[in-house]
Amino acid sequence: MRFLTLALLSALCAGATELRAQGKATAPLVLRLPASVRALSLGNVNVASSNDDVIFYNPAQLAVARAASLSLQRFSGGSIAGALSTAMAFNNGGIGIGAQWASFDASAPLPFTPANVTQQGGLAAASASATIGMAQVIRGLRVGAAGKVAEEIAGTERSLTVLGDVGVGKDTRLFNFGAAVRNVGASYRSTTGARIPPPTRLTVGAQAGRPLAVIWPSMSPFIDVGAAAEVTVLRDGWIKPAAGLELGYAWIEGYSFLVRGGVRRPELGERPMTAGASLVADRLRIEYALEPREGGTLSHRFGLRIR
Amino acid sequence: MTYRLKFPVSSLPSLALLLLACTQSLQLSKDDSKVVLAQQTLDAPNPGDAGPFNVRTLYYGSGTDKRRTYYRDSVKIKTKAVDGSAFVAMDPPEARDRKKHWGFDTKHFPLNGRVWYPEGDGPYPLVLVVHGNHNPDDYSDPGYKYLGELLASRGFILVSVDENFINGGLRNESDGRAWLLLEHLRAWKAFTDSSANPFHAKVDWNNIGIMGHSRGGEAVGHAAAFNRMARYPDDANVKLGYNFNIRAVVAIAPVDAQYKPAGQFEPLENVNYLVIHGSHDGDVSTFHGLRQFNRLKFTDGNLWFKSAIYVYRANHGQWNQVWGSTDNGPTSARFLDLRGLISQEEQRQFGRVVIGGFLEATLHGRKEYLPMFVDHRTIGAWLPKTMYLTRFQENTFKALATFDEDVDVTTGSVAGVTISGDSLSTWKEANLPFRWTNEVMNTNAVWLGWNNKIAGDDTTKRGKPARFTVSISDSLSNALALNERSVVMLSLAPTNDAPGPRKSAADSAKNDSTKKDSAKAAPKKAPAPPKKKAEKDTTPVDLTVELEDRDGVVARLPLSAFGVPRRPLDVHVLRRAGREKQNFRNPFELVPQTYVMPVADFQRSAPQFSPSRLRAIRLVFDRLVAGTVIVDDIGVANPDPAFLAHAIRAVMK
Repeated sequence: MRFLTLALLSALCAGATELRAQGKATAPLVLRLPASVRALSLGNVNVASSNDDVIFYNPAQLAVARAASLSLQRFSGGSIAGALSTAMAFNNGGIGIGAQWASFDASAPLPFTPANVTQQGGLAAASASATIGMAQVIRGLRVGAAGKVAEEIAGTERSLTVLGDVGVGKDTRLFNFGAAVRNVGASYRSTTGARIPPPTRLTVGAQAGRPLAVIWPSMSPFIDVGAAAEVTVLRDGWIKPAAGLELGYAWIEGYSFLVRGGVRRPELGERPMTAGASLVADRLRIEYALEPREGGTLSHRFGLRIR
Repeated sequence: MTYRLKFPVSSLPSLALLLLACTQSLQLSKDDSKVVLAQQTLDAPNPGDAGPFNVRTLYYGSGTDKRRTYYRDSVKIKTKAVDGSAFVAMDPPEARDRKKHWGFDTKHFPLNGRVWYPEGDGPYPLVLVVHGNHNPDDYSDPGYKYLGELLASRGFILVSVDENFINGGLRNESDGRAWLLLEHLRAWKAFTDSSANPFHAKVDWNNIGIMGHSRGGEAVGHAAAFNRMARYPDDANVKLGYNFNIRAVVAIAPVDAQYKPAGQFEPLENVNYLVIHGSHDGDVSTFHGLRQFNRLKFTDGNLWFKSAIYVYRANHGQWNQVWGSTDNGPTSARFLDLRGLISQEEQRQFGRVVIGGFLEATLHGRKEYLPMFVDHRTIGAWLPKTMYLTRFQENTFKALATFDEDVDVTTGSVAGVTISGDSLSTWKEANLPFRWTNEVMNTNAVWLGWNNKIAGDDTTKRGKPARFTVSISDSLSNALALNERSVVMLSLAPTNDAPGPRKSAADSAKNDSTKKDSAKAAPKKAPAPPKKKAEKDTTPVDLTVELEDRDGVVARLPLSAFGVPRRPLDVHVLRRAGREKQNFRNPFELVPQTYVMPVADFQRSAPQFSPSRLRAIRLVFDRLVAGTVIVDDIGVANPDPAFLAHAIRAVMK
């Protein structure tokens, strides 16, 4: 709980100051964009999650993820990003596959920054990746790895790269912990000859969720609370704390309505606050996230998950 | 900058509909308690009321508990820790966690107990009560305070035994729970033997009772059996040899057979036994204790009895003041329909009355409380106003037809009994099912369905009423030696099924199913009427019970004169629509009600009837056109007169 509180506070402070030190170019862009509706509404915190879209954040958690989901995000100016993932049991853990993409009109050639998705330009551009991951439980510790192929397209220019993620995860009585190193691999060379490094990052985080009545028995049995927090260190040493809170009303077994809020230290193009909501109807979950972007625009992400 | 979000107000009704759509409406059977519980023929003091003794309390324990100061620093009597490793197994990480949490491991289980005892010299009967599985940190043992205060005030020593340290995620530990109870008794023996102990010579060692709730309810059965064994069945290197005089066993909403000694269902014999269970139990959602009830045999000729009471709208946890109404943990309200429950106080008042009466009758020898276990209508004023189904048997019961002995439906349970049916649409024997899917009671019963209506255009045409007869040979009748103080007993559960009308051609009068030539006698077969799907019928079920002697004198009374034959009581414990069907075999529990029918009542209706010359017990289905009932345990008994002292007199209706 102390970790979650500290991370939440630091994310709040960092978000408030809106420091933007992280400006070095990395590629592909799609790996710097959110890939999960729930994660986005919690400040893009997802390293200790057990949803199928954790394949994009921490492959170790595939050991417990069992679902399929699709999400789409619309940015101002018509840019669209999306993600598709599924995870299932395999051996003593799980496997998953996923795909992410973003299409936008860039205002500048490669390398792109997250700000590009909200800036209208004249250059038709796209960024996409396909990921396959696997996790196993070894002596109580979840260990996972994922490989991905990513491509960046800007007009006639195309660049392809192969990257990998590794992660670990562990649950305790109160918390789920996760840590992952993502986007490890060779820099790719653009047609101009420039070498652009991948957006490698190390993330450590935790999450917890409980019915409120379990924490305080006198409270309503229908309310759930959850919190998630993580700290990410980017390739250039820039540190990004983020945290989110989730409040759910589960009026009957299998059905619930949740609202979420997140705060993060924003990267380029991002704003510190995010929010979202979700309606769970048995195996189906409809998700929504709101992400204010730099420049005062709002971006909306919708998703469907089937468990 | 301002962000504007528009919320479509018009979508609110749809949202509300979605919120409600998955919740089912409250479904309860119509309450008949105002009629059924209208009388109070038992005129003893209410055993649920406090008695004359001042109540004192204390804790005893091993003093090793890290969590609870009252079992560490406040113990008045120090007990030695005991090695439970032969009974309770856990994997190393679990063992490590538990040792860290509690401060001891399986080799050093503490003997902790909270005691309510009467002020005075005694000796008093000693009763142990043990909780079942629950959140280990939400300590269960204080939850029987209401029983402790009551029983101590009435001259019992009640000990609520602490077994919280084996609660949580453990499995197959019920034998450990039982063994710990016996270890507590052994510790108590030492207390009473020591002249320095506050309980020196205060325990009446001829009258010991054990009670258990949930898994504890299973454990008391094992404890009663282990008590008379020399060695632990699953590891004969472990000695038992307790041999305490356990006379009373109470199981509160028990599970059954989570532990099977040597792979078998625990055999149980020669104890007084009471099992109570709530219809709306959200944890043990079937009357599992009926299996323990059925297994209990009386073999030594002493006065013993067993009673099972199914309490409509009671749940699992309200018999424990800590557990309360949330059978599924703090978020129960999401899963369980709690709207139908009787109040916590009502449920505990039932516990006080019934457990108090049982222990008074069995440990204090107060026979005036025996009738309440034969027929709960005798204590209508004491019981909370809900519906009850009861089973009863005492040691003189002689079974004529239990339907367990073989697969021949025409034979009884003893030589000299033959069974026949006439005009029955359904006549089959099968294992009684529990409400829990794939679970059975491990006892057979007979299904009897009838429809006295003759198929055809004339809807008023009726055939001879269907009947089911248990015939007794002369020699058996002589051996039974029935008299005017004897009783005829059977257990019966009406169902919601009703067979279709009887074929017109194959009438009744000559259609004795036991006669091989009945088919020949029938005229040409008319085309069979289409089989109708059984429909739920809500008309009250009743039938006539006939006793016939060798002279052909028939005494008859309606079954309803001895108790109310109810159709299955609706049980919907889960809130979400459709979940009940997914999780349970039936939206009801089939609990055959035991009817204890004094022969004297029959004699009043036919004074010439001679019970010593009983030739047949017959069920005549003449009071309802169509229906199906399940019948079990037809027999006779010569019970202690105290059982019938306040019986409600049966009259012909």
